[in-house]
Amino acid sequence: MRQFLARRIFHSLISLVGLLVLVFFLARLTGNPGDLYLPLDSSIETRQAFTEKHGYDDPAYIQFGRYVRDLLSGDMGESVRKKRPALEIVLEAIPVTLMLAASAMFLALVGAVIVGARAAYRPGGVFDRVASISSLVSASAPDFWIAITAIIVFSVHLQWLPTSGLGGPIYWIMPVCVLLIRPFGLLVQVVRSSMLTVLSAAYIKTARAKGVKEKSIVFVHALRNAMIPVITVAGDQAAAMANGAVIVETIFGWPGIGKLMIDSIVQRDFAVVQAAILVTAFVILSINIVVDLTYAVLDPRIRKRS
Amino acid sequence: MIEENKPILSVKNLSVAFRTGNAVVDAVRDISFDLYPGETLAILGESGSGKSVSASAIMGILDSPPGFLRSGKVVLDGVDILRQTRAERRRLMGKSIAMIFQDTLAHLNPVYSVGWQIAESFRTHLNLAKNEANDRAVRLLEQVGIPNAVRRAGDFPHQFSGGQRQRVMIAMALALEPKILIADEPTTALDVTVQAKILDLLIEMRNQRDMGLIMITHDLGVAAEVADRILVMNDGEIVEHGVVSQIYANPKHSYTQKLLGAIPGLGNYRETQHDASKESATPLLRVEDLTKHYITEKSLFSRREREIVKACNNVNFDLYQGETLGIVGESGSGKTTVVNMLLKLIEPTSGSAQFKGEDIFTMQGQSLLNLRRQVQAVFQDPYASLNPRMSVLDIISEPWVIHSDVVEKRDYKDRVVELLQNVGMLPDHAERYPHEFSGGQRQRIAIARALALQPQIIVCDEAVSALDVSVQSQIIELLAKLRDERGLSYLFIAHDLPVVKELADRVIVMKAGEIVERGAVDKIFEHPQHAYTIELLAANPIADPEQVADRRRRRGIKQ
Amino acid sequence: MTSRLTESVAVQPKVQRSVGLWTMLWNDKFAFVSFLFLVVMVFLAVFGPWLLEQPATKLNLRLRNAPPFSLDNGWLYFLGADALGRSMIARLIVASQNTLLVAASAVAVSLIIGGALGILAGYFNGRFSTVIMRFADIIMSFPSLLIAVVVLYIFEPKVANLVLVLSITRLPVYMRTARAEVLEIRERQFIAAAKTLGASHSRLITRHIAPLVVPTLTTIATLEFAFVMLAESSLSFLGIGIQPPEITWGLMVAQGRNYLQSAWWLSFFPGLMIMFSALALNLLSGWTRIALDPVQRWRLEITNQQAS
Repeated sequence: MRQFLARRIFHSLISLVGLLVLVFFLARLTGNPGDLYLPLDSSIETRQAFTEKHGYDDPAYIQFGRYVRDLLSGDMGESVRKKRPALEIVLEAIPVTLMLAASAMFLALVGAVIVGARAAYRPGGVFDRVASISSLVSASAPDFWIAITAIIVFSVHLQWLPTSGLGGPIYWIMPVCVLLIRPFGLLVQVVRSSMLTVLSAAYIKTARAKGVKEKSIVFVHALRNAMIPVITVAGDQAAAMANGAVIVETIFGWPGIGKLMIDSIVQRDFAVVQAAILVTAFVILSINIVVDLTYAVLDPRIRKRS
Repeated sequence: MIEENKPILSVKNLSVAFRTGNAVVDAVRDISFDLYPGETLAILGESGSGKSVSASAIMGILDSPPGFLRSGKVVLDGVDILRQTRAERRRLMGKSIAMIFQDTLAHLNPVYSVGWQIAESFRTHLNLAKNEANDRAVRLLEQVGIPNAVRRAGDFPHQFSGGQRQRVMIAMALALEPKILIADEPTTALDVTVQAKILDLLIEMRNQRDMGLIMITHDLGVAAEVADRILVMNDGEIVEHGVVSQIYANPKHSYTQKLLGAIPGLGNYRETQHDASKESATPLLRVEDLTKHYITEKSLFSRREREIVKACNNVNFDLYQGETLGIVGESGSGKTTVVNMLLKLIEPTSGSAQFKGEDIFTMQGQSLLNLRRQVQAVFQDPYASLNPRMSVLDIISEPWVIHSDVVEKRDYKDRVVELLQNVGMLPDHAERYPHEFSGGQRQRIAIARALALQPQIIVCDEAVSALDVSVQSQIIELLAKLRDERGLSYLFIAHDLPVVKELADRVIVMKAGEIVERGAVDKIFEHPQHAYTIELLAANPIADPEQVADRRRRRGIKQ
Repeated sequence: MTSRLTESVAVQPKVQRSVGLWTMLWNDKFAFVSFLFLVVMVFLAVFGPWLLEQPATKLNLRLRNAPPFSLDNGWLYFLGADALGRSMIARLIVASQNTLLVAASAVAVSLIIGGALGILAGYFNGRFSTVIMRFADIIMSFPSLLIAVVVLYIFEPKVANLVLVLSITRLPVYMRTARAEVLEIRERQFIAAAKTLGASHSRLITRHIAPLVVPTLTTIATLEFAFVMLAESSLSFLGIGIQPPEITWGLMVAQGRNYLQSAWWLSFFPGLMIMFSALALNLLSGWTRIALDPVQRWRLEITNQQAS
């Protein structure tokens, strides 16, 4: 078990290092970093001073060493717009995104398990057909379009919900719903097909031959086995929440990391973009480790193997 | 004595059908039988005979759809359980009637401990508290012979060996002392020595509890070993029904006669046995000190030390022109490792193998291609050894595409037809795809492919193990015919002795990577020397009820 | 012993009537409609811009923000007009070309490269495989949209760059699937059988392994088409995808956002087109998954039996 976890953390670290190298070289080797970091209208003198200050004329490996050293001491550069450390700005934004993503993911997962399991229990039935089609629709919906359509309907015409901003529970309804709509659709399909496979497994027959109650067959014997592929997809979707967060936060004006990243891109504030990427990557790798731990809890075969 | 009792289970006119594609196929047609307390009823049949489907229908675990009940009654304690509500039925399952299955790894829930799964019966039917249920589960595990039961109860199915998992299944089925136990091919996937022990356990449990045991099997030996009465099923119908001694001594139905005639190991040894005096000649294949060790990798994160697994250790043998050498061993004996090394599918750790004096392990390029042409193989699973996306024509002509100088492209068709006829198939089969054929037919196609390059040696790796007995005997006969016509040499691998009896000239018995005994086939069967060979012969169920008691005594079982 | 050979040798093969793909498609009405929809879309995307170039760019101040569902101004204006009085229908059709082209190229690039890498990684399962899979892990451990955002920030948001970044972020999907399939297929006995015949690596890969992996990859590619289309639309919506004056559906939604209150149709219809296309692809992918899997095919054949 400890071994399994150690291996996974090791792999995550490799991924993180890979990403560091990628970001570094993308930023350094595609031209003068001053073009990336400084506003477009900076004078030649400013650029010159910037290059010398940060040693951008040193060889790449020295720069990379310095870059890693700075990162390890928590220095991810300074925002040229806000004149504050980039990491600080990012860490202020991330709780908002995490709250948003966590609520959406929780609702999507719980909802998908209930709907998917019910649909798989009687494949081809009315519930199954409705669930299958509507989950496909929800997985096919472009989230940005759902968001603005929802604004037209619920904010502009019906005037039930606020168009944007951060506040009480009423401000959460639309962003959370928009964010969960695609993961929910995908997860319903995964739960359904996984449950279908598991419900026709041999050990379900054994349980029936033992006289186990149907409820317990579905929720004790089948569900735990069916959850393994579901957790994989849910983990991927949790990571992909960052995709959705960019859209949702931009449209609803939430001060989360997605909006921060888009704003920084528009303002050409590369230090912040870079810090946001690394922090997001760290969060996602942590999610992956939690997913791996969940596997191990669900399936003894993974726990004991290697 | 049996006839005086009232039956505990009566099946009356049961019919089951399946919807497949465009048609409705009858899987079980109008079968009726009774089961009495304390007796074992064997339902004997080959694959597709409907024997397992009947059991599923009785247990209410038919795959539905596509399967459905057409008609019939299953009377248990005076009640037709097919007419019961789901809840009523559920209360009987596991309590009055229980079932064990063949593939235990698939039939036990992988994510719960075996103790939990056994205890579940007590929790469900008796509403026992968790601790009490667990204690009783541990006691059951002890009864079925699992050592260290207290600790093992917390282990998961994949941590047990096949034989032990079947013991766990039996413990689970017996938890609530059911009156009826249905055993669906419970020992088919097991080694013969383990099979003997499981059968003994089942008989012991039946006798202790005065249970009725329904034993579903394809193996005439197993049926003879355990059954009091036998039902023979073919194509969904009961073709013959009777007391065990009568069925074996005096079968009435032609199908039963055919089955009994096809039992491996009943025939005579090869008439013109290979002459040992020829051994002065150079062997076709000489294997010397062949060894394969696997070293478990030491992981960066593991404290475990490297371990060496000796899959195959210092194996020596010769194979002469026109001779058949049988290699027999149970799982883990290393027989497949030997084959894979000789076919150059894996690398040996040390040792050598010479084909006509040339070391095959150093061969590269053209000389390797020449070896491939001389040494061909037929594999175990006829469903897996043919590429499902290639037609029979493509499959059989593939060797000629690779060895392009053997047959002209325009002659492929004619030569394939010729080969198909040689192995007993029809010319128009060439246009079809593997999934359109039965297991035996596919094995014939595989043999045709092996013959295409006119090799000198054919390695048959468990080539008949996956087939029904009647098909098995046909394939063995085909192999014998081809050998005699073409002067082929066979390396014939099998997991038990009877199948090699009629085909082999000499036999090698392997255990745990080593050869424990070798000799002429009649010597091995008539005068085995090594304890393991004797155990293997004794464990093999023989389809002769008269000998059962005697053999069981030899295995040291009290009646 | 000799008597056994003669009987039951020439057994006829099991009769297996295979229902044609077209019949199976016709039987599944959802899949059939999806297929028709996609065929029409492809037709319009190929020929539409050539026919409708003029109405899609012609300004018509009289028809600024003309509302939809009226035939007064001709069928071209049935779905209304934008802020410059250009026909919505014409613009939707012209935009479909870019939208589908970007998605199709990205899917094709990642299918071919990812599929090939995955098959090789599975076949030569050694150090090469480990490196390839770690690479896939790195890409997968980061949300595709964010990678795209950063790359398009550093490079120019040209069509070629957009295709490149979308295809790279989706490579791991094909690589992992292909590798997993190959790892399973290469252990099958027919591979061992082909090896004992002397088959070379290239023959094993092209004749025995690839044909079994391709159906799975095709199914995934259909699904991925929908995903990539949505990703491209999101990027265009955020303003870092395709740049005006070129148009895509995503960009049209973004442009219409400024007129949400006065002219909802400007962003509603392009969004609807994105959703319909993605839905059609998803439905068709579900159908191909079943149709190409011999174990599951009976599900579609049963419908046929009930229908006839």
